[in-house]
Amino acid sequence: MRVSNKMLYNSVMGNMQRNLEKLLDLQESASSGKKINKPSDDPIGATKVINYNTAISKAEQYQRNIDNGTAFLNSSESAVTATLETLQRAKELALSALSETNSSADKDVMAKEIEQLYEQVKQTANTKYDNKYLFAGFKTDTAPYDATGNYTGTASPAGYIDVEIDAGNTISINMPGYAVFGSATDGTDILAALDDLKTAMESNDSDGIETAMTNIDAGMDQAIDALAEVGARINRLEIASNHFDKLLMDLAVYKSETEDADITKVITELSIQQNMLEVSRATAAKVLQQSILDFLR
Amino acid sequence: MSSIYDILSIGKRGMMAQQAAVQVTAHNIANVNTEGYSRQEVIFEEGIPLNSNPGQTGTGVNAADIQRRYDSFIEEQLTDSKETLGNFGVQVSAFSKIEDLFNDSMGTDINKLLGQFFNSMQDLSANPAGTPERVTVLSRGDALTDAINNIYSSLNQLQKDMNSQVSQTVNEINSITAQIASLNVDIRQAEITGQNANDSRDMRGRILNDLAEKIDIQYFEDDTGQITVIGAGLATLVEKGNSWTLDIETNTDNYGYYDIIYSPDESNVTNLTDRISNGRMKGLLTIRDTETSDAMDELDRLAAAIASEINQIHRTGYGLDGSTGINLFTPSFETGDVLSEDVGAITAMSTNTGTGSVSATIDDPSALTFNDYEITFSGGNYTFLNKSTNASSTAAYADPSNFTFEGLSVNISGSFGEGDTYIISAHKNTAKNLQVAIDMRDTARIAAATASTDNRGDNRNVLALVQIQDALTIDGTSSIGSYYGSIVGRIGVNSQYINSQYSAQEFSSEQLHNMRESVSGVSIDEEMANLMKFQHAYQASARLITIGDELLETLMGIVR
Repeated sequence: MRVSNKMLYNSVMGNMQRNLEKLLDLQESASSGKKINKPSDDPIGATKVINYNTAISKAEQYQRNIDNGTAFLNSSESAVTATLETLQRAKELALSALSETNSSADKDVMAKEIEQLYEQVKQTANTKYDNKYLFAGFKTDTAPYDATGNYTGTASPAGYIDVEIDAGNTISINMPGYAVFGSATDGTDILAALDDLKTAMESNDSDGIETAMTNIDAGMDQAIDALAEVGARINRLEIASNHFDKLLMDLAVYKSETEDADITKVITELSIQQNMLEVSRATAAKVLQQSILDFLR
Repeated sequence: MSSIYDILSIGKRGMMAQQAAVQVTAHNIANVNTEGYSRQEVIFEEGIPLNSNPGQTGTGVNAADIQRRYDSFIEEQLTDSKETLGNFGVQVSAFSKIEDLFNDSMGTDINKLLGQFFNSMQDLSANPAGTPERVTVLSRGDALTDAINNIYSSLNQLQKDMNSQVSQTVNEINSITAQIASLNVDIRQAEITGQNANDSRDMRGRILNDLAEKIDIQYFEDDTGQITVIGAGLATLVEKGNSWTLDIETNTDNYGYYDIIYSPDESNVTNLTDRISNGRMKGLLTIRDTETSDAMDELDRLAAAIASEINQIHRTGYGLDGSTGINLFTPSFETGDVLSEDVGAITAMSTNTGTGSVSATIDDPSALTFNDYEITFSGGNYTFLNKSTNASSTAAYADPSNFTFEGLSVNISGSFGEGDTYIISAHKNTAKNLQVAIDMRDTARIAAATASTDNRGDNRNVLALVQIQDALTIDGTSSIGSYYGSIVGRIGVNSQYINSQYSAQEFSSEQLHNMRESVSGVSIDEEMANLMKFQHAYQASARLITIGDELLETLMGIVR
C-alpha cells in the first residue's frame, strides 16, 4: 500500500487518542473507585445500584424506626414491671388486712399505704418518654389518668401507635392505658381496685377487701399480659433489627460488587495503559520526525 | 533529416515539461496538510514524431495533462460515513449532558431525595406531633421538588439548544449549497475549455463532505462535471449553477420548535422534518423530539404520580390543627381540577378546522393513568384514545357531549371538522410546576392523623403515606422509585448504544480516511524523490541546449 505522510500522522494520532480515552476511563475508575461512573457504563448495573441505594436508605430508616420503637417499648416495659411490684405489695397488704391479727387501726395505717400505692400506680400510668405520655394512646400531650383516676386517653380499641419496621409491616410501639391499667369500660380498672381496697380497709369491710383483692389479682393478670405483649414486641424488634443488620451488610456487598472497581485490576490496567501511551508517544516521535529530507544533503 | 534546431527544441520542451512537473510537485508538498487535497501528477507524453530518414525521429516530451489521483468509490463511502458521524456525534455529546442530569453521584439525585423524603415521613410517624419532624418533611419535599424542577428545566434548555442549532445548521447548509453551485459553474467553465479543474473539484468534494456531515445527501455528476445534490431523499439542493435553500418554520404542534421546510417554488412546499434520516440535523432532531422529550414526559409522569398519590391520602387525613382536605403538593390532582397549562395540557392541532371547544377536568384522581390521550372527530363520531395502552371509546357526537374516561371528565361542544384532533394529558408540565403546597409556618397542616382531634400521637395517615413509596402506582407495575430507576436505565441503554455506534463509525471512518490517503494523500518522501527526478531531467535538458549551442558554434566555425 502506498503510504502518505497524513496516514502516518493519522494512525499515530488515532492510536494515541484511543489510548488516552482508555486512560481517562481508567483514571476515572481509579479516582472514583467505581466502575459505573455514568449510566451508560453499565445501564443494568446503574439501575441495580439505584435499587440497592433505595433498599439501603430504607433499611437504615427501618433501623431508626426499630431503635425508636425499642426505646418506647422498653420504657413501657419498666413502667408495667414497676406497676406489677406495686400491685404485689397491695396484694400483700390486702392479705394481711384479711388476717384476724390486725386491728382496724392497723388497717387504717394499711389504707394510708394503699393510698400511696394508688398514687404510685397513677404516676407510673402517667409516665412520659420523650415528653410524650406513654399510655395515652394518641393523646400523647395529656395525662391519660386524671386526678380522680379516670382514663382520658384514646378509647378502646384505638390508640395503638404503629410504625413501619419493614415494607408494609408495622408494629405498635405503645400500649394504650386501657390495655394495661384498665378503664371504667375496659378490662380491670386497677386504680379503681386500689381505691376500693383503701375504702374497704378504712371501713374494715372484709368482703370489700376480698372483692378488691380479686380485682387486683385480675389487674395483675392484665398487667402481666401487657408485659408479655410488650416483651414479645421487643423480641420481634430485636429479630427485625438483626435482620436489617445482616441485610445492610449484604446490600453493601452487592452494591460494591456492582459498582466498585476492582482497584488492583484498575491500577494494573492503568499502568499497562500508561506504558502503551508512552509507546505510542515514542513511536510518534520516531515516525513523524523522519523524512527523506534527513538523508538529502 | 534531423536538425540541430530540433535538438534545441527538444531541450526546451524537456525543460518546460520538467519545470511544470516541479511546479506540481511544489503544489503537492505545499498541500501536504490540506484536508481533502488529492495529490496531482503531470502526465508526460512523447512529442509527435517527425517522418525522416533513416526513420521517425522523436520531438521530445509534452506535459499533456495535470491529473489528480482519487477514487470516487472511496469518496462516496467517506461522504456516507460523514453523515453517520454527524448524526451520532451530536447525540453522543447531548447524551453525556442528559446522563449527567440523572447521574447518581450528583447532588440532585432524585432517587436519594425520594428516599430522604419518605424517610422523613417515617420519622414523622415515630413522632407525629414533633415540629422538627414536620419541618423536615416539608424541607425534604422542597429538595425533591427542586431537583425535579431543575432536571426538567435543564432538559428543556437542552431541547431549546438543539432547536437553535437546527436553525444554525439550516443556515450552514444553505451557505454550503450556494458554494457548491458556484464551484459547479467554475468547474464547468474550466473543463469546457479542456482544463482540469483539479483544485476546484477537491474543494467541492471537501464541502460536499461538510454538507453530508449536516444532512443526508445523494449526489451525482453530469457530463459537464457539475453535481446535483439531493438532500433528505427528495429535496434538490443543488443543480448545475443553482441552489435552493432550506427554511425553518415554527411548528405550533411541536411546542413552537422549528420544522425544516423545502420550497423550491411557492406552489411546492415540503416539510422535511420527518424525512431527514442522517447527518447532524437528524441527531439534533432525535435529541430534541425524542430523547429529551421522552425524558421530560417520564419526569412529568413521575412528578404527577408523586403529587397525585400523596395528595389523595394526605387530603383524607387531619392536621394537628384539625385541618383536612389539604394537599401536600401542587398541582393537586383533585376532583374538579381543570386541565390547563399548570395541570396537564389540552392541545388543539393546528390543522383543526372546526370551531368547537374541548375541555377536561379531573373526575376521579385514583383512576388517573397519566398517559397521553387523543380525541379525534370523524364521521359524526368522536374517539377518545389512550395512546399508550390503545384503550379507546367511541360514541356519536351530540352537541354538547360529556363523558368520563380513565378518571378524566371531558366536555365537548360546538362544531368540529372531519379529522379534528386534540391531545390531552393530565401530567404534562407537572415536573416543571411541582411544589410543596404547605408553607413552612403551617407545619400543623401536615395530615399525619386520621382523627380530627386529640391526635398528637395519631400517625395512621402518615403511615399510609409512607406505603406509597413501595406501592405499584405507575401503570400498576412500577413504584415511584423503580420507575425512576427505569428512566435512568433507559437513558443509559440508549446512550451506550449511541456511544458504541459512534466509536465504531469513528474507527471505520478512520480506515476510510487512510484508504483515501493511500490513493490521494501526499507523501513528502515520494515528492522529494520526484523532485530530484525532475530536477535531474531539467538539468539534462538544459545541458542538451548547451550541447545544441556548441554544435551550432562548431557548424558556424566551418563556415568561417
